[in-house]
Amino acid sequence: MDQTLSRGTGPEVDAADSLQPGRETIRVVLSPIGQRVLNYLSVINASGDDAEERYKEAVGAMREFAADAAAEIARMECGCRVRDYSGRWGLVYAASELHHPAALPYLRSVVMTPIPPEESADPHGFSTVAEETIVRTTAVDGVVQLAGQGHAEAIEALFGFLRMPSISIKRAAVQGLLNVRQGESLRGKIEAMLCPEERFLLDIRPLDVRRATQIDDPEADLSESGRIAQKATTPDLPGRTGCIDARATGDDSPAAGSGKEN
Amino acid sequence: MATCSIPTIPNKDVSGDNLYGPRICNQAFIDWAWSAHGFSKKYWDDGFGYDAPCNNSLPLSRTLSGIWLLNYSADDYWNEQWSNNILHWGRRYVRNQIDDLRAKCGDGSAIATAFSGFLGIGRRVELYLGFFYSSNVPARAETLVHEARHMGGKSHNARFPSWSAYGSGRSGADSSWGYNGAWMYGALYLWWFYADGRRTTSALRQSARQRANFVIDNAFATHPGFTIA
Repeated sequence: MDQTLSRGTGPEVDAADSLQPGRETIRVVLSPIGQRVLNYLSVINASGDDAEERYKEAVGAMREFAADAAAEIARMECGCRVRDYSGRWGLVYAASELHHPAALPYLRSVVMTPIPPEESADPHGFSTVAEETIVRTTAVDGVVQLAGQGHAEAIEALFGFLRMPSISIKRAAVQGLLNVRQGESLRGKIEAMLCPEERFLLDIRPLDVRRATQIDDPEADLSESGRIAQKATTPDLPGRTGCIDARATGDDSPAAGSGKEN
Repeated sequence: MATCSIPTIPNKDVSGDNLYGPRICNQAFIDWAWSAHGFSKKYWDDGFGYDAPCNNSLPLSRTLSGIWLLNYSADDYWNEQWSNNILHWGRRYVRNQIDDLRAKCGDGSAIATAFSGFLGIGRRVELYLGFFYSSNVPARAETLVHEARHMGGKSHNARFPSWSAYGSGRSGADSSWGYNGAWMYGALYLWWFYADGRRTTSALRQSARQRANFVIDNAFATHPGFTIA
């Protein structure tokens, strides 16, 4: 967000703010299936040598009871705060990773739920519609995965998504439909369902980032002060040291040992 | 001076804070990041985490996690030549452009604001509660890239198109992908992170892909004509 032209901040510009502790989180009791889902979420971004193994175990434990897991995921998402976009995204991603048709009703319901009106006064800076849309396009991708397995209901669901007002949902559905077996044969039906001004979605190309237009000369995009900045480069990670002098001495930088809460 | 409260903190496993939080808890990294991005005690004290930089419930740790991702997600992260891709030099661009990084409460309408020095208003980037608590770690990195591009002197130059979720006809869009504006910088960073990001997870890369595709679909007056494969 760039507000240098539109919003001055007046004499309060240098004032520091204060942040107070929030309320305690209420812990809920989960069913055994709910525990499996929660366990999956706990390893979704795990690291370490055994991370992949733990992930496989956790997703396998959910898939073992896919129908129940899908129902539990739906219940858990229903219990999330609306603005817990990260938590809701994780649950929708979990449902997508079930790779099971039992997840279809839930995924479809996520996509088909109307996006609430924008709550942000400045959507360019932060958009609730953007966050809601990202949750839904993740659900679309879960349906696309099922459609790719040949589930007719998933393909029908993707056609249903073309009626949703969101351009991103439509784009994801169009791409999904074109990618199913003999998807090109669906082009006419897709076209018929799109408004004329939306038919450009049929021409959108899936692209690898290496083939996208890059930034030719980023150095030229620096401000004058940015070009002359002489800052130490990033410290090396353990295992690769001694190549560049990355030492920096923050005059008042905080001490790392304090406040561990991971 | 404003006073605000920490909102309910989203699941830190899903947001990536439990992955990146322990990584930033390293004195050499904290010293470097603190100096290179212009943090100052005044704006990161009083609840924002100065006294507890390793507490990943607090804004400082969560900001440093975004900076860690920005700096170490290329396989050969030490290769930050401008001739490489943005996954490599994005960190260099951000640190060269951001000299004064402040934590603030904000009014809920934005997650960050770049003040590029126009009209004598001090050059700085302000980060607000939404940055710390509504964004996951890759999205925080993307925000830093986006704001750094504004600090580089590039404002948005168009209105959002009729189909945009950001609001048809509102200002704040970039005219095209080729305009090389803040939306393009942010989306391209996320795209590379999705395609080739290291020291991260499949789920975070997928979340980056979703966010980048949303920007591609909605933030340009002329749709770029592609989507992330």
